[in-house]
Amino acid sequence: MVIEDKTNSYLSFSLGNETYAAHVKSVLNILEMTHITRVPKAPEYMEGVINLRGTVLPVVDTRSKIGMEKIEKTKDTCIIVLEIDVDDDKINLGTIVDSVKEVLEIEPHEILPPPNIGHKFQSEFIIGMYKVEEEFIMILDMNKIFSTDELISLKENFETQKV
Amino acid sequence: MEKLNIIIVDDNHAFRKGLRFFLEQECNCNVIAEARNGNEFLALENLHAADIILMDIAMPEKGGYQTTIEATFLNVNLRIIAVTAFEELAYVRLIIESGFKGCIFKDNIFDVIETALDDVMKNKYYIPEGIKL
Repeated sequence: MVIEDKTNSYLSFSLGNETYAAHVKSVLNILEMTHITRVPKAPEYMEGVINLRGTVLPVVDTRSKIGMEKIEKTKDTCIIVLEIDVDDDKINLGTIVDSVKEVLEIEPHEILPPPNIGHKFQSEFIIGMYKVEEEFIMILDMNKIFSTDELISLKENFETQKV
Repeated sequence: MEKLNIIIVDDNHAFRKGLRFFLEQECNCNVIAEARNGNEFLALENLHAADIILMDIAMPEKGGYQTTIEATFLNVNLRIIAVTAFEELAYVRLIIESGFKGCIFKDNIFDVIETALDDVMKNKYYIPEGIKL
């Protein structure tokens, strides 16, 4: 089988009216929205956990993590299962999105610098912007949306539990 | 090996996108179109360019059985595989008589899809165990 070079492949998805993209190396798969078990005293961005083939998958609301208001669930709402690097290890995390769009091939030279909107917003998780027709897509570094402490805490509390 | 051209027909957005991602990233396939129901599928201009079509049985407006009957009337060489979450809708005789080349259950699709695509491209039927006659 030909192993294709995926270094420039990004999966785009929407949150409200905005479109974002994540590198495919962080994406394991895409799930239908399902019942999420809420976890008491969990951080606000944490939606809860779901049962994924016998293991516990923490599910987060990325939008609320980056300081935006929560979205209404629709029939197109999905959970993107991500593999995030934490220290020398990895953690699987689900993130809720409004809809999934497509895989885009974006060359490094096509990525525009991230918006400079002041120190109020942390933009280190925005790698850059990509223009598609009249729209800008924000390319996110999924490893940088959470701090190492937050990821370690998620990993310790949830990842090793089996249902 | 050349990439297979696939069309996915399913009214469930997350399932279509999840399957598409898997086929493109893991199975070296090219998804050339998606459709949300039978009517959208029959209106596709590149319908005949597909090597294999993966079609949900239970869809609104026009379901998988009726769509496949109509599509194979237009082109007997179309290779359409039924995909269903509902085992009670899957009957071997009905599947073959409607023009499908096989059937896959959604609950284990990612485990069997490559075998199913391979079998159907070799002109075999792909029928899972446990399906009713």
